[in-house]
Amino acid sequence: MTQGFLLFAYNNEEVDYGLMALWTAKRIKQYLNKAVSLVTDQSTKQKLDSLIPNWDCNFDKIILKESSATQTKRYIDRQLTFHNLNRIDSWDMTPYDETIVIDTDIVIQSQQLNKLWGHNSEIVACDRSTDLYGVKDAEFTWVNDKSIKFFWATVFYFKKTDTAKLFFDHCRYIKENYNWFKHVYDLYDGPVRNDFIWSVAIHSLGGTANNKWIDTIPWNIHHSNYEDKLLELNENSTKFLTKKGLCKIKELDVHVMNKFDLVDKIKLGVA
Amino acid sequence: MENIDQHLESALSFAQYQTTINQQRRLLKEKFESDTVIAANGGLFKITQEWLGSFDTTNNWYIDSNGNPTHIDNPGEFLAQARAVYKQAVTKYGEEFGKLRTQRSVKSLTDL
Repeated sequence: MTQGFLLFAYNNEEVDYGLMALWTAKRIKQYLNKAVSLVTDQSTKQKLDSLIPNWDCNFDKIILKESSATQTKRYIDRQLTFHNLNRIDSWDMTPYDETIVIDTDIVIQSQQLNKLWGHNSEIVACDRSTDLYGVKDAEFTWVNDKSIKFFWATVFYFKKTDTAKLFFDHCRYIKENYNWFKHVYDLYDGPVRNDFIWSVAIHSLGGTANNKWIDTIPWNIHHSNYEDKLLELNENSTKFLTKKGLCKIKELDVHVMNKFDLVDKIKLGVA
Repeated sequence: MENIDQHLESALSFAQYQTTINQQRRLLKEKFESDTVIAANGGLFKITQEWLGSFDTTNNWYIDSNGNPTHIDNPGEFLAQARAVYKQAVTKYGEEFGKLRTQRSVKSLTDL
């Protein structure tokens, strides 16, 4: 059984997702010692080519695929393009029998994710994530106040099996008919969101089984908030300045929402 | 007036210290909770004192954190592994918690 991580990176006008993916791949090697493959487009690849020689040796495989859709999204104080809908093709693109897909803004600081390999379930999703202070917003618990349970598409594990394929096929169907599902599940009027696609697919394929056809990651994956400043990015810890004060998160993986700060800190490290 | 300002500043500084130490304690607990999840034969098990105390080595089937029955070939070995993981995690938790208690400023709390 082959095992590995799959990362997606599509640069936009200001955020260098390619650089974040490269840095994350190095972290995965360091902490988890697993193979990593990258799905990216030509322009992101060219930017990496121009910045860092032999960057691709950090990846097992580079899969070139142009973004299937371009949307815009709010990044703190500015509206930027956002190319993030290819992960519904994870099943087709992964070179591994077992795959963990993670966002490139997740800072790996532990070996926790290695516990997912060989799991009995064909899909393991994430529904447990709080901010740095342990607060879980209602929007990350339920899709809305009268709808279905929320799941993150930020981290998930799957096996290359027929059941997992069914899930990803259904995700594709939801994406293609998003306006209809938006109406049925009362999804908010923003851009198409992978988390919502995941939540709807898990719910609808579960019938009335209360989502129990998939398993979930039994530990908390913290996320910072968009306005939290990333002050330090160290070997096994990150330090934030939040509205509530200073916060240091050590030996726990953390999802950094403030991509601008993360890229700045990575650039300092690369330089 | 100056006394009131100083008093207020001191109160705010203490509040900030309390917020930070409580937060760092909570993160240590989260780390302990994560460290005490172990993977075995396709299941994920949350190890607690109660779990260790009630573990029955005469059985081969155990319910994991997701509620799935998981077959364990060698329960004795599994229990020994779980105990070792728990011991290591609780020791680390205790040591780190002790370090926090001796810190008297926000800076030193977040420099550990």
